[in-house]
Amino acid sequence: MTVKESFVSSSKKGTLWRRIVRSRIAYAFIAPAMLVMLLVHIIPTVQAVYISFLNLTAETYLDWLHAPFVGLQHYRQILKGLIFGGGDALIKGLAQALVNSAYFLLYVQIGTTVLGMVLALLLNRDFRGRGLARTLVLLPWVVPTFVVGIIFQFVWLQRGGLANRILVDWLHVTDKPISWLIGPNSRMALIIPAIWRGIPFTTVQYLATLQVIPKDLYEAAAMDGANAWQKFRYIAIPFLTPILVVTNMFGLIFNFFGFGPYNIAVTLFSSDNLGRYNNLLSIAIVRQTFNNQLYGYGAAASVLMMLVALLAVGIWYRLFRSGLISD
Amino acid sequence: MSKPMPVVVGPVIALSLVFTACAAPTPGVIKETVEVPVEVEKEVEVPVEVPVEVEVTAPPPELTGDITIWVMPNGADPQAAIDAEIAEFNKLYPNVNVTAEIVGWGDAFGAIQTAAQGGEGPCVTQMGTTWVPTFGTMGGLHTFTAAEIEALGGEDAFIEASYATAKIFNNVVAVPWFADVRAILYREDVFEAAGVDTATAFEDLDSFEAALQAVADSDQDIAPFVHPGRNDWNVWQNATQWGWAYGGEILNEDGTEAAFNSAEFVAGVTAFDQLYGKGLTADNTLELNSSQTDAEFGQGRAASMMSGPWMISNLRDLEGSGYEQMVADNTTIAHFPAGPNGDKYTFFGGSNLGIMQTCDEYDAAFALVKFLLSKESQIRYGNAIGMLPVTFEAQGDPIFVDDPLFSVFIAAAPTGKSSPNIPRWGAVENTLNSALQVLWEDVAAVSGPIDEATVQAALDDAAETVNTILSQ
Amino acid sequence: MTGLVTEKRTSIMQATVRRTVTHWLSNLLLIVLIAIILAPILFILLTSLRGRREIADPEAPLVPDVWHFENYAGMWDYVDFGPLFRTSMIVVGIATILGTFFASMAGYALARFRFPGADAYGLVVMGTQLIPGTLFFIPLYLTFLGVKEALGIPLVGHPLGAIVLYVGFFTPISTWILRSFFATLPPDLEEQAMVDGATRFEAFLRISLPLAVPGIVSTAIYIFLTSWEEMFFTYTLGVETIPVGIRKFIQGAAGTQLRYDYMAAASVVTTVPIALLFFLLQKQFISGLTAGAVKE
Repeated sequence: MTVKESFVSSSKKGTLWRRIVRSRIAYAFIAPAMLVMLLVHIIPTVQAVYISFLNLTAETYLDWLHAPFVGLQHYRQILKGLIFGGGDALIKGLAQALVNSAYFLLYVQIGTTVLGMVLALLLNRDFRGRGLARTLVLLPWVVPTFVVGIIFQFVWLQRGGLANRILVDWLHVTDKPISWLIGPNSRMALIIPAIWRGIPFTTVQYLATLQVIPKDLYEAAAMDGANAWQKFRYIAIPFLTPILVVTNMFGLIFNFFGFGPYNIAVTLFSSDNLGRYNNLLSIAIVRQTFNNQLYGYGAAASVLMMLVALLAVGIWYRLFRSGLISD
Repeated sequence: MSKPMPVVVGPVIALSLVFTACAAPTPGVIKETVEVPVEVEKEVEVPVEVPVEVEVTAPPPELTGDITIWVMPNGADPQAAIDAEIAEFNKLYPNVNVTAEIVGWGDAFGAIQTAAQGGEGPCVTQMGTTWVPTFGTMGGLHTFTAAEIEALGGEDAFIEASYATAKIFNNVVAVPWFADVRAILYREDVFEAAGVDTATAFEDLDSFEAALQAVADSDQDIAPFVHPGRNDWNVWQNATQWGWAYGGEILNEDGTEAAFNSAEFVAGVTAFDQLYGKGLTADNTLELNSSQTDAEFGQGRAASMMSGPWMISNLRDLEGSGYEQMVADNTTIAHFPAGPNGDKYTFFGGSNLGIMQTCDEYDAAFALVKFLLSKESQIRYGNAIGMLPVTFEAQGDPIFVDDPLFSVFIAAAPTGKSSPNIPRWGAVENTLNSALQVLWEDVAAVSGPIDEATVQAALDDAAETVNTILSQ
Repeated sequence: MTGLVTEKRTSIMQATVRRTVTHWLSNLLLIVLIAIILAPILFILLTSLRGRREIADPEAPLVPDVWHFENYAGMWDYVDFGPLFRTSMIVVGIATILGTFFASMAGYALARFRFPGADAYGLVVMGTQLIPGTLFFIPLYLTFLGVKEALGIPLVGHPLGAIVLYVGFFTPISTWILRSFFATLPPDLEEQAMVDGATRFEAFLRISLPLAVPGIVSTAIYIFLTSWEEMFFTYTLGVETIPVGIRKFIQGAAGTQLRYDYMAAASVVTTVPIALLFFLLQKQFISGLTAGAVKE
C-alpha cells in the first residue's frame, strides 16, 4: 500500500471491518486520549445517570450498588417543584439557584461583552504604549480565580474595604458604609469580580478580529462620508458577529458549569453557603450533594442541568449556525 | 454520522457496567454494623455487654509507631498547643512519632467523612461532639470495648454531659477530650461607663438588651454587641442559645421531628435577629465569621459577644492573637441570660477524640488517647487553648476553679445543653444552619428589626426538609 | 475662490481638531479603564505588605508607613507553603505534559485520518465539555475508592488521583484545539519523511510536533493555568495543592485569629508563577486564549 493511499479517504473502499483494520494507526493515536476520556468522563457519567435513579445517601454510599432504587422520583420532585413552585427547602433552593444563575449569566455576559468591545476598540488604534496597554489589560486573566475571590473580599469588606473607602472616604458619594457581602448588593459583589476576570478573554478575541479587518474598507467608507458609528455598524459588526456568538457561548458554558464562579464565590464569601442572591446552580448542587449528602438527588439535578445545557447549545447553534465559522 | 453512533454507544455502556461491577468496593468495608433501632433511646444507661476478657494495660514505653492526629484550631496557637502535648507524650513513649495536622472547622467534617469512607486519614482525630453520631453510624470509628474504657479511667471519670456525646446507641465510638461552654464576654469598663449595673444587667434577655441600648446611647464609639453572620459555620449554635432561652427545642423528644419552628424557638431566634435592626450590633456584623467576630471584640471595636473559653486563651496570648491589652484587662464573663420564662441554659459543646478504623497502629493511637486524657495533659492543654477539661479530676484543679474567667464557665456547665445525639444530626445541622444563614440576608435587606413572620416562614421550610431527612 | 479654499481649510482643521480630541479622549478613557482593571491587583500587593493590625483597622491608611516584607516569610511558615507548592507543581506539571501529549496524538489523528467513528469521536469529545463536574465526579470518586480496595493504588488523598482526573478532564478540549492546529499544517513534510522510511509515529514526533509548537504551547498554558487554580476536585479528593491549602487556611485552619496579612501574601505568591509564565510567553498566552475561536 502506498503512502498516498493511506491518506486518501478510505470511506468508500471495502467493508467496515477492512476500514477499521486499515485505520488501526489512527486508533493507536487516539487510544490514550480515548482511554482517559472513557475513564473520567464517559463511564462516570453513565454511572451517575444510574445513581440518579437511586436514593443514595451517607449510609448507603459505600455500598452503592445495593442502594434503594427509586426510579424517576428525584426527577419528578425537582421538575414538579420548579414548574409548579413549592416543594421542600431543597427544591426551592434549586429554583432559587436557577434564578440566581440566570441573573449572574446575564450580567456577566453583558459586562464582559460591552467592556471587552470598548477596550478592543480603544486598543485597535495606533498610539504610544499600545503594547504596554494591551499587556496590562490581560492581567486579570493571570490571577487565579480563588485569588480573585480573596482580593475582592478585601475590596468589599464593609469596614476598611477598598470599595467603601473609595465611595465613603474619598469620593463622599455616601455617608454610611455600604454592605456588600450580605444583602441585595451581594449579587454585585460576585458579578463584578466575574466580569473583571473575564474582560481579558473577550478583549483579546475582539481585538484579534478587529485587526483582520482590511483597512481599505474603512477608507472607502470614509470617502463615502460615513461617520464613526456607521463605520462600526456596517464594517466591524459583520466581522465581529461570529466571534460574538462563539465567545458568548463559551462564556455561558463556562459561567454556568464551570468552577470559575464557584472558586471566586467560595473564597469571596469564605463559605460555600452563599445565601439567596449568590446561590448559583453549580454551587447549590455541590452543597446539596456533598454537604447534605444527598447523592442521588444531586446526580438527578446535575443530569437535568446537563440536559438544559445541551438544549441551550443546540438552540444557540441552530440560531447562529450561519454566523459561525464551520470547520 | 448516525451510523457509527450505536457502534460507539453500545460498547461504552457495556464497559461502564463492567467497570461498575469491578469498582464497587466489597461490602466488607462497612464494619461495625450498627443496628438502627426504630426509636432513639436517650439517656439509657445500658451497660455494654462485652465480657472483660483481656485487661487493657498501658502500652510499654518501648512502643514504636508513626501516627497522625488531626486537631482543629484550638486556642490562639493551635499548633504550639498540640505540639507541647506531643512533646510531653514523647517523654513517655520516645519511639512513637506523632504528627499533628491542623484542620479548619469548616473543612473538618468533610475531611473526616472522606477518611471514614476509606480515603487517607489519620489514626486519631478530634471531632465536634455533635459529629460523633454521624461518624459512628458510618462505621469509620473504632468502638471502644469496656476494658479499654476502664483503662482510660472508666465512665465515671468523665463529666456526664461530655460522656453522653461520645456514644451512639450504647456503642462508645469516641472519648471526650475537652468541653466548650458558652457565655457572654463583655467589656466591664465600657458597660460601666454607660451607667449599666453589670451585676444585674445579664440576668435576663430583657435587661441584657437594655444594657446594650445604654451602651449604644452612651456614644463611646464602640459597637454594643457583635456576632457572626451569614458566613459562619456555627450560626446555629448562636441562634439556638436564644431559642432555648425562650423555651424552645431543636427536635422533639425522640428526635424524629423538627421542633425549631415552634412558637417559642421562633420567638427566641427573632429576638436575636432583631438586635441588628435595633442598632445594637456592629454595623458590619452580618458579614463576619467567627474569627472576624473574635477580632472585632479583641481589637476593641465591640463591647460584648457570645463566646466560649477559647477567647481566654486569645486574650492571654496577645502576641499570637493580635488583640489589644486594654481589652484583655477589662474583659469579664457572664452566664448567658435567662429567657422570659426563666429558662437558663448554656450551649455545651466540645470535642471528642476518635480512633479511625483505618488506623493500623492501634497501640500507638490508644497510648496517645490515653495520654491526652491524663490529668496533667487535660489541665495543661485546657489552659493553653482555653477549654474545659472533661475529667472531674482535672476540672477540679485550682488552675481552673480559682481563675476569674474559667470559673464562670465551670459554673455554667451544670446548665449545659447540647444538640440531640442522633445519627442524622449532620444533615439536620446543615439544614438548620443554612436556613438561619439565609435569614441574615433578610435581616440585612430590611431597615429596622426583622419581623417574626419571616423567621417563622424560614424555619417552617427548614423543618419540612429536616422532617424528610429524618423520616428516611 | 479663496472663500472656498478657506472653507475647505477650516473644515480640514475642524476635522483634525475633532480627531485629535477624540484621540486624547479615547486615551483618557483607556487610562481610566486600565486603572480600574489594575486597582485590585495593586490593592492586594499593598495589603500584603501592611501590618496585621493595620489591615484590620478601618481607619489606617492604605499605603503603609512601614513595609512588612516579613509577611511573606511568615506566611510561608505559617501556611506551610512549601509542600503545597511542591504538590501543585507535581500535579499540574505532570497533568500538563500528559494531557498535551495525549491531546496532540488524538488531535493529529482527527486532523489526518478519516477513520470509522471519527465523527462520533469528535462529537463525543465536544460533548464532554457539557458534562457538569458534579455529575461525573461522584462515581469517579467511588471508582477511585474501589480501585484502592481492589488494586491497592491510592487515588483518593494522593496526587495520583488528581493527576488522573486532570488529564482526563483537559484532554478533550485540548484535543479539539490541537486538531484545528494540525489541520492547518500541510501533510507533505510527513509524507516525505514516510517515503524516506520513517513510521507514521516517527514522522509525527519529529516533524509534525515541532511544527505545531505554538499550538502545543498555548494548549499547555491553558491546561497549566486552569489546573493551577482548580479547587473543587482537589479539595474533595483531599489532595493538598495550593488552592486547597489556601482555602483551608482561609477557613481557619491556621488558628482562630484572623491573618489577613498572610492571606494577602499567599494570594500574591500564588499568582507569581502564572504571572511569570505570562510575561515570558505572552504571545502563546494570547493565542491560548483565542485558540480555536478565530479562524485566520
